[in-house]
Amino acid sequence: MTITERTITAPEETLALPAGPTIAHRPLGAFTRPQGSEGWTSWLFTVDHKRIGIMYGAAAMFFFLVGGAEALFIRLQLATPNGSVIGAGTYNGVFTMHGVTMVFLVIMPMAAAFANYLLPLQIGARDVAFPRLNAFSFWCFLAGGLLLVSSIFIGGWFQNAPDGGWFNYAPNSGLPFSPSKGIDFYAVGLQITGVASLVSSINLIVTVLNMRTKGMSFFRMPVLTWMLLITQFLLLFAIPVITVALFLLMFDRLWDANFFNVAAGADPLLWQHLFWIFGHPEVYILILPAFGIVSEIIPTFSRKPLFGYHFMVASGIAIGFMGWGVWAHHMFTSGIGPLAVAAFSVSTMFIAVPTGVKILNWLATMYRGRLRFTTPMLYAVGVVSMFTIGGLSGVTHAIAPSDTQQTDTYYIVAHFHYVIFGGALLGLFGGFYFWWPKAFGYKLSEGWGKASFWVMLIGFNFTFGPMHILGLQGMSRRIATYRADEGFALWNMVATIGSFVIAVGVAMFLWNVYTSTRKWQRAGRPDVGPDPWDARGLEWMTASPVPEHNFDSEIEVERLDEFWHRKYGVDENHRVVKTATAEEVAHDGSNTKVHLPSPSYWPIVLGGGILLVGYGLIYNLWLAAAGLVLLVGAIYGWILEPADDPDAAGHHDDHHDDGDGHGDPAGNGGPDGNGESASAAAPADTEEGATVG
Amino acid sequence: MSRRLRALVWLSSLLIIAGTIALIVVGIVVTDDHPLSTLSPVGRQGRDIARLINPIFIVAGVVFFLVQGAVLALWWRYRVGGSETGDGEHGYYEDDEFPDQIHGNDRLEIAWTIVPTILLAVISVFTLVGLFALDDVKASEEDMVVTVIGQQWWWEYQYHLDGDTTTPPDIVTANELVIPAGVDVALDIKSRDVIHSFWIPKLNGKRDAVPGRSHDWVIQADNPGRYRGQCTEFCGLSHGYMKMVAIALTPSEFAQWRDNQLTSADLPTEGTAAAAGWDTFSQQCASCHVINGVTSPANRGGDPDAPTDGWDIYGEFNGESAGAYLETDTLVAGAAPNLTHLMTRGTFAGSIFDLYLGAGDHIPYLDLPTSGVLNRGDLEAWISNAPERKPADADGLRGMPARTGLSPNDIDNVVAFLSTLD
Amino acid sequence: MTAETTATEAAAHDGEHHTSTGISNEKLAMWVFLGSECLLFGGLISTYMFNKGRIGPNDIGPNDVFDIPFTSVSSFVLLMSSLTMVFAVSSIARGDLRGNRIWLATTAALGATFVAGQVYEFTAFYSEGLGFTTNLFGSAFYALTGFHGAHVTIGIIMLMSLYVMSMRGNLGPERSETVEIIGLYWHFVDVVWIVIFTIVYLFPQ
Repeated sequence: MTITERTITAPEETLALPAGPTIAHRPLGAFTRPQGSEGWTSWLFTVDHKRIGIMYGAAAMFFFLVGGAEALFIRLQLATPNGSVIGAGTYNGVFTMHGVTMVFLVIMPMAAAFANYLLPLQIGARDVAFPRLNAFSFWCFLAGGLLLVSSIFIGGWFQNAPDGGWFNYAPNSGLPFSPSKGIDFYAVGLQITGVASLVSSINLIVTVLNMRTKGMSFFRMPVLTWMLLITQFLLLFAIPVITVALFLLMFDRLWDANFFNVAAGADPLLWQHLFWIFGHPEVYILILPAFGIVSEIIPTFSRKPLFGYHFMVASGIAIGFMGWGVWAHHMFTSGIGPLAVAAFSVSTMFIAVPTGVKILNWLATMYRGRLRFTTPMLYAVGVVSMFTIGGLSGVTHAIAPSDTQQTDTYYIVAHFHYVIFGGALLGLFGGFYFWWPKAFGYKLSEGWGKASFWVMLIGFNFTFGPMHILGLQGMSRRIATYRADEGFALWNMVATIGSFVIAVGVAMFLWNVYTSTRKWQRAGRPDVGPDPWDARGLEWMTASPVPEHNFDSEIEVERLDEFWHRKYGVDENHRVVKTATAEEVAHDGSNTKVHLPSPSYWPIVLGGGILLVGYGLIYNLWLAAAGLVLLVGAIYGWILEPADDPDAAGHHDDHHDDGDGHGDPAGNGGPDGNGESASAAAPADTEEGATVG
Repeated sequence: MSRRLRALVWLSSLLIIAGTIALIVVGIVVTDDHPLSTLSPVGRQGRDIARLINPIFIVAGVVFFLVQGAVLALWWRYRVGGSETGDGEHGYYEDDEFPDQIHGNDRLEIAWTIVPTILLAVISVFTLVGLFALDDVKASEEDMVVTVIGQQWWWEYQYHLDGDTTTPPDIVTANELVIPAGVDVALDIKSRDVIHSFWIPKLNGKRDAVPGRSHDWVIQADNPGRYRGQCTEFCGLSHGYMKMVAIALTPSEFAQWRDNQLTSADLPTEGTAAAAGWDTFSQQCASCHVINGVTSPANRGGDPDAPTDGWDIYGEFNGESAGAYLETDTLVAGAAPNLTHLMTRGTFAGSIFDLYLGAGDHIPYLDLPTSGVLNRGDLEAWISNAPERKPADADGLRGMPARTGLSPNDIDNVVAFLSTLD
Repeated sequence: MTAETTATEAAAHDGEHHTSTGISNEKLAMWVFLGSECLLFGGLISTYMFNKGRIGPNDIGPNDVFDIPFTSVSSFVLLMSSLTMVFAVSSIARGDLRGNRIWLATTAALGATFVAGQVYEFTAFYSEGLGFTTNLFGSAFYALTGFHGAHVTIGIIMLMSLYVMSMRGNLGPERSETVEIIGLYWHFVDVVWIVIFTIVYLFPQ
């Protein structure tokens, strides 16, 4: 494939500042549907997968600060014996909201940020399959998140916050035992975020299956694409299960059903089964995106291809399947009978195998590489190191008898923080540093980045390392305080100090974002180039920041790591030689003739309707009815919305996006997810042969 | 050569630092006194678990050092000096040096799939053997069975001395589980309200107390002693304050304790402070607390399986809105501790307060009522305003309600009455 | 601009051409969504099976309320609606718009008959003393069948929308896939009912 000479021009203005007012470089003139491509309103109505990804990231970062503040309250309360910083009632709300926030409102949407931003780019597509549905997923998620977080303030500080733990076991979640509105917020809020995840998963699955560019066969997809795809399948099948559980809980609390009413003969283990059939795949939903990110970063900074690509993909798929067969290891002490315990104990142990394969492949990728320890690489190697610790402690409580000593102690708290913080969150932060120049056109400062990494890593180990000891010494989870003579004081104090070190590390990250942005603005916004890291995926084959239309023309893929192979070849001695610069290979974003889907009012309106229905279910059914009216109106507007801008030339009036593909998520009052025309997003709709010879 | 030497120095100093930290940590862990520790089991089941898990800790430790060592070694050996030259620059790698572009090695992949699989298969064989061995401890039919009942936020123990749990219990006590040392004691774990978990870490792992279910469990203590526990399944507001103690006595001491517990209480002599205390008690406390021989046997602390007792809190409101019974003046769990032999216990209020000052292990358990110095401060404060000392639901339905209307004199009298319950 | 117009028109008229799998995005999305729905009904059916026997000896239970012949008839009606749905799809594929409208209306009518039967059944059960809050069987039964009924209702609304579109001339043969996609949903809902009917009504109580 010959590439014609092309002059490199930095975009006049840059796209997609996180809070910046300027959106420039709108390839196609004016849009109706919502008018205007600048200012904050253009963010509200955008259907661009990149902007939606950035909004997911920003929202997740906001919730991360909320959840982090809750974590600090937990640590302050537990710093000393007989702590009295917050009372037991508030404490229960704080740790519940910490867990719910971090799992559902931080890690999942952060992964969604990467999925939205990168999936279409990595497979060479224009956008996701259903751009408006994508926008709806975000607003729906935000509605659920805000509803959950608002419970902290409504009716007094933590008076109506969920207080049953993130696992919310029945019957403690029943009205007699939890009379505040907290559990209602939990049930309704998680259903709303569930709708968002489900719609998003359908959208992204279709995107990956259907919108790959020419030649992008499954085994040419980057590992991140693979891991995100597996994650979406896990969501697709796990979300309905928790939805059922939440429905039953809501019916019990709001309309006096008997699902968890022990007096009527109910068995509370039903909740546990439903919750953990969702809950264990959920663990892999949290960690697999980070695995994908690490699999992108390590080869780039080792200057080698990923070792054992097929095995990495296969182990991800294996984890995806095996993740469904281990849920009852959360219930070894619940009384499920010795045979079930034995079966789940064994299945749990073997899920360590594919995870171990991943660790070893990453190490093998680094072996004999040329390792550049940039900030993203530090985070990625941090994941390899820290996640291993979480994996090993995981094996120790796959041993069911020893789990009876460890479960519900701080040993478990240590374990899953090494998995979710040390694995997922460090990986996602590494991803921020890695793809930041791609999304915004400038790098974050390496100096601050490395410093904040080390501060976070040290703080993390000081916080959660001692919890292994505390757990084995018998400190239970979810206790608001402990007696002085139980011997937990020392390590709790260490953990509390560590947690504040983490807070400093996070503050340094935010400071880094701030100063790097300022510096870049002051320096006259230099262009970082399409490929600042000498990377391998297709997302680097277009300008930074990515123009709204992604690629100037369709890319034909002939092998794994296509972009890298266009830059490098081998000479007669089988040595790698550079054959082209990234600038020569990459698209410069100059094609302005690409037809893109127009923004839309309706996704955010629909999200607002769902928010009203949510509050209405909790407080007043009339409010829910009003929300339902808004919701139905929004669906009506959505369907009747012109598929295209009437003012734009060449629009076709018979949009084929009404009525079809009614993806009503589970009939649970969610929207009729009318499939919308993706024709505008198909890769072939550029002026054919405009630039590529 | 010098590079290799530097690497050696670098790595070994790192190892020395890491080793020192590890030693200090292990030292603190081992020497510190931890009444709830799982690391120093003194019961048969706890020991079996430790025997199963300790080698696995070692295996995990070896893998830990191998992986972390590999990370550090790769880092050291293959890192490229020099760092980022500046933001926004193109061509991060300007050098022409490329490592071999190895894409993988199928044999290696298969090896490191199979080796851990075999390792884990071996571990799972030991696990299964251990699991079924632990499960296979059936006390004989006529051995004593203790029904352990969790409720918000204390534990009740119902002793069925003949092992027949279908008949009313012989002894009902709270928070302190007294067992004979050296023998397996069968437990039958239940709950009256939400899920709790019974856990005496030094004796055995935990077992959930699930309402509507009955879980068999066994504990055994090698030696007489006092072994602490903590409810380990989140059970609502005061979960952290729901503790318990297992007291192992020699067989003869246990028999002595048992015989005493089988006796009923007597009403105090008229005219004494205790009698005045009884008057107050009967008005303020007896609707929930049972004292055998003194208060009515139609108590709320009966067998949880009995259709009209215990859980009938649900039955009473069956068919009505769940919200309805919040408006009634009844405990959600429907039961409060039986106080017949309160003074024989070393702790009260979910074992969060000591009943005797500084008693600990210094006074033999059976001598507590006679030799111990009553912890009046906590006891009186508890009687007058329990929710202040231990979080309880403000509406009084979960946990002991406040009795702030009682004068200091009333409380003195109630304490005097309680002091007769030995 | 002309080139672009050509491209979009080509995309509109030849939608299947541009997807990697050859299946259109909308149809694939429906398949994926139905995969998720399987787990939703799986969860509800499991809940029902877990709970149906958890009632007291004197409580009102399945044997007290079920009218198998009646439900068999309404099940048959729903099953027939799948057949008419097939006719609706094939007629629009042939370009027979009038036939398509007739079959769409018939399908919707059969579905509505089923829902009406369900409403009647619920009322009858309620009058016999089985409410949503009566016992575990009641809660589980109404939740499961109610969820299914809601799905059928949504299907009817979609069929009616198609009918209106067709009346307005917006549903030509080029949109036959839209009918097919809704047909997928409709068949799924019917198949789920077969499972529910078997498990709830026919399994020995």
